[in-house]
Amino acid sequence: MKIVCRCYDITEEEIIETIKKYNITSLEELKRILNVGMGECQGRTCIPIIISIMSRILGKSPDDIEVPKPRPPAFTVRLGDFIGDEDAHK
Amino acid sequence: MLISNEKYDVIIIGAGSIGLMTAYHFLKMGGKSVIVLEKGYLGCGSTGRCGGGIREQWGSPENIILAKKSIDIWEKLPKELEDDLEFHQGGYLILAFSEEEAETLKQNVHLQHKFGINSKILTPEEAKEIVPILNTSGIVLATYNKRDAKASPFRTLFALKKKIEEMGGKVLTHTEVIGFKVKGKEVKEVITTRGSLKANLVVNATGAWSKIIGKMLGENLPVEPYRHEIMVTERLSHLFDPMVISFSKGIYFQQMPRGEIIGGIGNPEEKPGFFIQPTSWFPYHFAKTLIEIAPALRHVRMLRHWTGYYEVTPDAKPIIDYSEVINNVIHATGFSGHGFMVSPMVGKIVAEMLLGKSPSIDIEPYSIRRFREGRIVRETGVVG
Ligand SMILES: Cc1cc2nc3c(=O)[nH]c(=O)nc-3n(C[C@H](O)[C@H](O)[C@H](O)COP(=O)(O)OP(=O)(O)OC[C@H]3O[C@@H](n4cnc5c(N)ncnc54)[C@H](O)[C@@H]3O)c2cc1C
Ligand code: FES
Repeated sequence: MKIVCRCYDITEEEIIETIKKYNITSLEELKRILNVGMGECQGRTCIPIIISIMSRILGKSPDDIEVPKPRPPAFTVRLGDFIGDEDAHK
Repeated sequence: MLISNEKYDVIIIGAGSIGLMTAYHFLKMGGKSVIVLEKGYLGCGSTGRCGGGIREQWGSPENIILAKKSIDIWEKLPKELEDDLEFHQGGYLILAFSEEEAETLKQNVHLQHKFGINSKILTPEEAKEIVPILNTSGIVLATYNKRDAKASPFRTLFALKKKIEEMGGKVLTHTEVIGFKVKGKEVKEVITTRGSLKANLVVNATGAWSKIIGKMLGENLPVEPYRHEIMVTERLSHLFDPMVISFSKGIYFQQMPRGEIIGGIGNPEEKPGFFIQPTSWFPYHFAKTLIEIAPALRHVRMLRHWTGYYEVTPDAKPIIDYSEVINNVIHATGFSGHGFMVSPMVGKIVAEMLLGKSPSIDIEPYSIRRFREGRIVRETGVVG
């Protein structure tokens, strides 16, 4: 068992199984079904590994894998910080 | 891959919840040849961006009927599709912040009871028992219905696609419809970026883009895209079960099975149009309103924030009707921000229409004609 996405505890086996089960062709699809790449690290850890797994399984070059759009915020933000609520840090 | 010269009984344009539910029901009821065409990847439209909320607590008979019959189907769907849709009936809690709003919610509940829905009126304290993180100050009353639910939009789309393919239907992504070959008052061919296909019947299930398809057919559909923003937080331990919403504040939020909170708020200043960029208006107003309602959530971190379109009609009620200009086209669109939850019943009705059966509910209230004839009463129960 090899953990690929640490934020969501997703293994390589689960990724391969899901790609095959639903005939997934893009990372945009995979990430929405398994949540991979959508964790606290915003996919910085796992997306490169997943691209290489997908390119291997689908027989595509890594450059041909549709890569998810980065979503704001670039780093996680406390909801209280959006409204400048200082005491919330206590 | 070129696809020219294939012929289908039914071509459905748009592989969102409406298009796929239609294809599924069509095959289930004995239909044979159907293909669903999707311009992007599966879930790239509104369905893949939506909150996944499902409720029968509505303010008009049209929406109550569709939603109630849809929940009947949702309850059986995971078994039928043999897949985990993350369907869970944790209820919806609707909050009233003024006497006037309380009155509207009471009237809605009264109407819902006429249709056999078990919604209840709760005091703020009773509401807090269900959602312990609730700040009750300012809340006049709440309504609650345990049968309301949530499901994963993405899992639903993929499970439907898999089932449709197993039943002999086709779902073709990355294939955009760019025109039609019309003869007399009939579409003969659907022209796509990968060639043309012949069809007997065509369904326009393109949601926020359905007006563009209408235009290609020479028909004016009053459906406008409105940007809506939504966010997800980090995962937390289980805090509450229902979707919490307020019509007056335009906010909704819920906790997902994995523990993250998903929620959105509508911007009353939003203009129609295809504006996909997230705004800076959203995180501030969402955070402010959410913290007012559930102060403890101020400590939670927002992970991502994205946008999608509501496909809005002038009365916020759907269009499920035959085209007024082309004989072999059906439009199923204009769900105004609640198309996912009603998609099972809409799919069933459209499938019945495709098979020449009379629809199992009266579709007159969903006609295109109503806008021209000025017979419109706006739905009060829209959030965001
Ligand atoms: C932020 C947000 C939150 C929401 N929350 C909820 C909720 O909690 N509950 C709920 O029930 N609803 C919710 N909604 C509304 C819901 O997402 C929509 O009403 C519903 O998904 C509409 O489904 P659809 O199948 O009609 O449209 P879509 O899912 O948009 O499907 C239409 C498809 O047609 C495709 N298409 C368009 N033009 C063409 C073309 N020319 N050729 C081929 N394909 C084409 C599009 O790419 C798209 O995939 C929300 C919406 C948003 C934006
Ligand atoms: S490791 Fe996958 S999102 Fe962080």
